[in-house]
Amino acid sequence: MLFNSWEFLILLVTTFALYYAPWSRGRHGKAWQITLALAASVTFYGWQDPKLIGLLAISCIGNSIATGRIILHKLAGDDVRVNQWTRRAVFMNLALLGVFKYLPFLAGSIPFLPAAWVMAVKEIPLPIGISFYTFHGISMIVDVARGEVTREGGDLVSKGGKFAKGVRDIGFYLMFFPQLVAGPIVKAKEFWPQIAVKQIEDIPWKQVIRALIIGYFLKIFVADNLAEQTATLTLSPTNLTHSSPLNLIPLLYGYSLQIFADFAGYSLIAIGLAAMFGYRFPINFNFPYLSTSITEFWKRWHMSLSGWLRDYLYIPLGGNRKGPSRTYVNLFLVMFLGGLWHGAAWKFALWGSLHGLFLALERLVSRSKNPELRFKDSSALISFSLFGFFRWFITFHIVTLLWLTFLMPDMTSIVAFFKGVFNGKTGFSGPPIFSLVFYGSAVILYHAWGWLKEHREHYANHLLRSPLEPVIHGIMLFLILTNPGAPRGFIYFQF
Amino acid sequence: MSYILTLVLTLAACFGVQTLALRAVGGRTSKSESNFFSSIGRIQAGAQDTPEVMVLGSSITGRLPDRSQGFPGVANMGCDGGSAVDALRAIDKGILPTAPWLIIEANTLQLALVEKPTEIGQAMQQPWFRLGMRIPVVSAFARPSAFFYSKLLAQKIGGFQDNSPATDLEVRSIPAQIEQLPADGLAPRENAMIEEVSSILLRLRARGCQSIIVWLPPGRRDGSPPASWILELARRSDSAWWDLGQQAAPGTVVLTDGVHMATPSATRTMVSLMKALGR
Repeated sequence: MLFNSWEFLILLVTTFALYYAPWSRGRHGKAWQITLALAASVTFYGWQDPKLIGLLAISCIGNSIATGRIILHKLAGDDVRVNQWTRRAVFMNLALLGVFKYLPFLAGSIPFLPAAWVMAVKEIPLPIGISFYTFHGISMIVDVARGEVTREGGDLVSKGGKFAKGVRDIGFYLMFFPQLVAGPIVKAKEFWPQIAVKQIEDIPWKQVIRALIIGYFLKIFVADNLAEQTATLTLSPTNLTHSSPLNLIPLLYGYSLQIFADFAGYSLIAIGLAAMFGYRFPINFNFPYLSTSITEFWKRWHMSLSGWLRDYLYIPLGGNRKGPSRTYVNLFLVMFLGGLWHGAAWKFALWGSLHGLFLALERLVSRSKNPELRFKDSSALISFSLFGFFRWFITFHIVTLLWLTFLMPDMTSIVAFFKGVFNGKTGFSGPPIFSLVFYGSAVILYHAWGWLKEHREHYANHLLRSPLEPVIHGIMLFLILTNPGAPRGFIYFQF
Repeated sequence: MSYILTLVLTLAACFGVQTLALRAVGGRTSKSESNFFSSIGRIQAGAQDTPEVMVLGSSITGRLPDRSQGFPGVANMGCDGGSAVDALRAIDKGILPTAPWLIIEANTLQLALVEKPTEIGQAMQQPWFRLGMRIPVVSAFARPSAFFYSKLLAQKIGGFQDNSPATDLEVRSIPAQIEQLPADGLAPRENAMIEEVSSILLRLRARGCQSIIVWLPPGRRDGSPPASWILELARRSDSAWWDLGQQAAPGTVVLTDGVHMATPSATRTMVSLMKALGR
């Protein structure tokens, strides 16, 4: 089910009304709310293909059993068994991901396998959202094993202090519909302390409205409209080769803005929906196209994935504690695996590897430079600094070029794109450029707002207090209603 | 509370400006940057009021002027990337209204042989499509982007050189006759399409609709005859067959991109069609 569908609207309104029904204030209010949210999540997930619920249930039950065992052994001080169960549970999560996401790719790469086997394996469908809920599962297992979520007084409790109860809560954490399919990846230690009875009067309506209007605006007005144009890039490599640079380059910029609007829009909708049900999700995008380095980009783009990779992969690998050379290797490795997390294809491996390479290079350069010019905390340089602008320009174009790997179906198409860019033709058609200007300007204005918030905070606060905000939201709502793109799914659903 | 009030007032102001803009452009915009919404908008606009002549087809038909461009009673149902069959199916299902005259573009009928329904054909089944037919401000022809794009396109096409003589295209009805069937007969899909479309046209005839299958300019480049199944369709559905592609004298129609007519040529084509219909 999509956030931008009529079915979802009906599910949302029904669930919301029942979630805050008068009896939710009673003794069993929490049980009612969590069970209802779980039922809504299962409906949401299984709407188009109910078979998928089975796999989600396996993940949920497996993780629940492992979590319970780890907590018990942790309380008994049996670290050997804690490690055993942790390894088993992480293996189970990775195995689920491996079978459905990577086996078809691996089978195609092994030369001696019978063709019929390869075909059969390749026909295994990729369950929607599997990359996200397996990461949620791993986060929960590791947080519990590390003691960041423990059992006290018969309840599961986090270090944050609020109580959550039993296996039902584990299922709720894994399956809560706003984040089930494409994140944000909320860590168990962030989510569990929030599990409690929720009251309608505690809903931060202003934040909810702001997140939902901006989220739907980015998705429906910007991303869906740009998608109709950028889809032409995926038609065939021959078309790309014979196209002209004046058609191809605007479409590449268009895709860069589209993928931001699509995913940031989704994340804001998820944050707004979660807030409607009383849960705080971390922000996932912090104006990433303001970045002046790749390092900074990864602190602003898909922040919940970056945080997950840092906490559960980079740091366990040794992080930057084992010397400079190992740090570069770790950075590269984490990004390479992060690339493969998006999909089992060489194009994603290339994307991750190049990001990893740039991160390592920046680390290397920043070690040898004046601290003033180091890449971290460099966003301030963008203001009135030619050097800052140059770095922003380079960063934006590296990121944009690398998005080609996401857009194009294969490496042949990527090569064809570059052949088209350098074929010397001069013709162009109007719609791609028009769309880039008309819809892309919304993303540029959004980032201009981000710049203002970061560098001219008092102006930003002044604007937030003025009637300008509801006026802008009114215009956004008008454009959502009158100028939507053709309805289509979210890009990150395929991961 | 002031937030909600300001938001609602802004929304109302935006709809007010859009309504005024819509009136200023004669009731509908001519083209959107999106092929999908251009077609949807054209069809939604065509379905308003009661048309007397409906032209059904692809983007070639889409270039023909309609009632908002000086041809009262004419509704343009051109589907970019599709064919006349998309709109015919929607008429048959009661989604779109009918008209006493149906002009069916033959140039792209072969696209209907692909079994997968077109994006526009699917969209016409959606509730938002019907909503746009009833409420102009949420229709695809009133999209804010379409106002800007139509203006830009008018400047571009207006500047397109179309010095062709201002003469009528010859239009005459010719019997649909298949000189020679292909050796192996018609393909199963072609037979199925003839069966489906002729049934629709015969049902519509019973409701008082006359159908004419027309090959619009440009003609077939090598002068070859049209596909046999299209002529067979005309015969089986008892439709008139007009072949403007062959009948129009060379040089009377100017194309902008090898396929679509420039505005003056499209207007001349429509004038000729209307004369042939006795209007």
